[in-house]
Amino acid sequence: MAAQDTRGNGSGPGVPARGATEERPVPYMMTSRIAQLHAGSTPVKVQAYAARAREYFGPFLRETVNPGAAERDRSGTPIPNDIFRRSAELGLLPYSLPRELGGLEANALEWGLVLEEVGYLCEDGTFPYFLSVRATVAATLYESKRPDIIDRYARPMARGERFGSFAFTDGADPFSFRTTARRAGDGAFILNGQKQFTTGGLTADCYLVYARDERTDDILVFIVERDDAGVTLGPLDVHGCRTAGLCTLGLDQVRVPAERVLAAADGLSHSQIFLNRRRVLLVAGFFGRMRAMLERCIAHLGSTIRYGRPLTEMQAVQASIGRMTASVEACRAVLHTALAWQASGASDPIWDPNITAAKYFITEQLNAFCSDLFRLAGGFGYTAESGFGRFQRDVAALFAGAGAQGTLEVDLGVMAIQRLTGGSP
Amino acid sequence: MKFRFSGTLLRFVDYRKEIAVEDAATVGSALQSLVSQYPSLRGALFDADSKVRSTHRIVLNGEVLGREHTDRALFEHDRLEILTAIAGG
Repeated sequence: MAAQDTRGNGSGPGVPARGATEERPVPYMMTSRIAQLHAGSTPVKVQAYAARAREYFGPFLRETVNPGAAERDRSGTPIPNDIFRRSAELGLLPYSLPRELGGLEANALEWGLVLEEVGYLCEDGTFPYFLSVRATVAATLYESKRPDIIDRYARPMARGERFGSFAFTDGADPFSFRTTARRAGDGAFILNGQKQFTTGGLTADCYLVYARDERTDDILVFIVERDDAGVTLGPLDVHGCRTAGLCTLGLDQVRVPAERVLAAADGLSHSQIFLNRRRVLLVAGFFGRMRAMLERCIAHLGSTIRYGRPLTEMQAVQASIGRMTASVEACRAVLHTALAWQASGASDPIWDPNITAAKYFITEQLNAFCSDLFRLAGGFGYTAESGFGRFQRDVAALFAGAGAQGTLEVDLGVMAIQRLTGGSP
Repeated sequence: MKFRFSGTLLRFVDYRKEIAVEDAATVGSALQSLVSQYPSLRGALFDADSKVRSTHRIVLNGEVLGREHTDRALFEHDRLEILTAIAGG
């Protein structure tokens, strides 16, 4: 795809072309001071940053991602890889990735704000979630610090030429994984088992697979390629996030060579680092969608006349909108604080209470917010046209994703008791 | 000293919430003594390199210890807890 300036003002450099060299023009956000938000950034700076993210990525989302979003949801068709390729060309997919990979090296706050605005503008609410999973897989591979892995996987992923998926959930607790790894000589392993929920798996070409070492019972991490003999993919007919390409990943005597062992010990911690960093990014796009849904709801109510007045003039409706707005603002505060905390580098990389609480809180707020949408919007809310139903179905994915809500409650409780009492008496 | 257990790891210690360990001079030796008593705990607690997994927090008398602090000395009335926060994906 040729480089083009999608900003519309023609006053700055265009967007990078896929596979371009150092001479390529870089997205203007990369060179602008606005790309330097940090934990102490003011709300005014944050708003300005978000506005420029909307300006920059808006045309791509409206013209490329939004068309066909409803039909993809109806049919359960994954967002096409070509959309991700184009998002890479635009600098969106590699936005948070290191400059060495051609990324913009945005910190968690900057990346989370971009995902929020993508969610705000994107009729396919699954897109920011799916996008951030793919970026996190690329970042995780880069962090292996192994040149062979970086060149073979992370670099092409940042360019939108390859796509990775995270295959962890196994249908058993992590100390009882049924997916096994048997040593096969020369450092190779034979994998057997089935991963139950693999986001983006249907259209990925490689997978981070967590399997239990038959010899040590430790969890190891492998890179499995789609074309490896014995790999099978099973599409899942799911309630929400139907365009995320969720699938099962079957492994039948899959031989993985030594060079594709990503973590030779403590893959459990490896998985928790992946999930911990994902939690607050996961909800960012959904929060952006929440803002859009509130605006859509108010617009509908303002144009609906009952007893000679717009519904927005009725006090009961105003009170409901007030309650929903309070929820939006509370989520905004929690989300931005958690993103800034993650960006500060001071958060716990394995399990952080602030980030965990943010994911938990925003998910609960989103769920209640969806109910309010239906209460207010009446029959309109029940139509596909409103998008409220899809939003509610997509939000349901958060109850299980990146840590089930019930599990997070227990973890938060245990850690709080320890912190506040010094442990059990 | 005593270990106190709760949550995820309980099933590896026959659901005993309190386990006494005698003659352990350090946190590391107490952990080794514990996994000798409950061998199935070894794989849950330690990785293949015999290091405490990062997902576990070792708490000595209310103080969270780093993984590298298993050489801390123990005394008779010390209390060690192992807290684990693990989520799926």
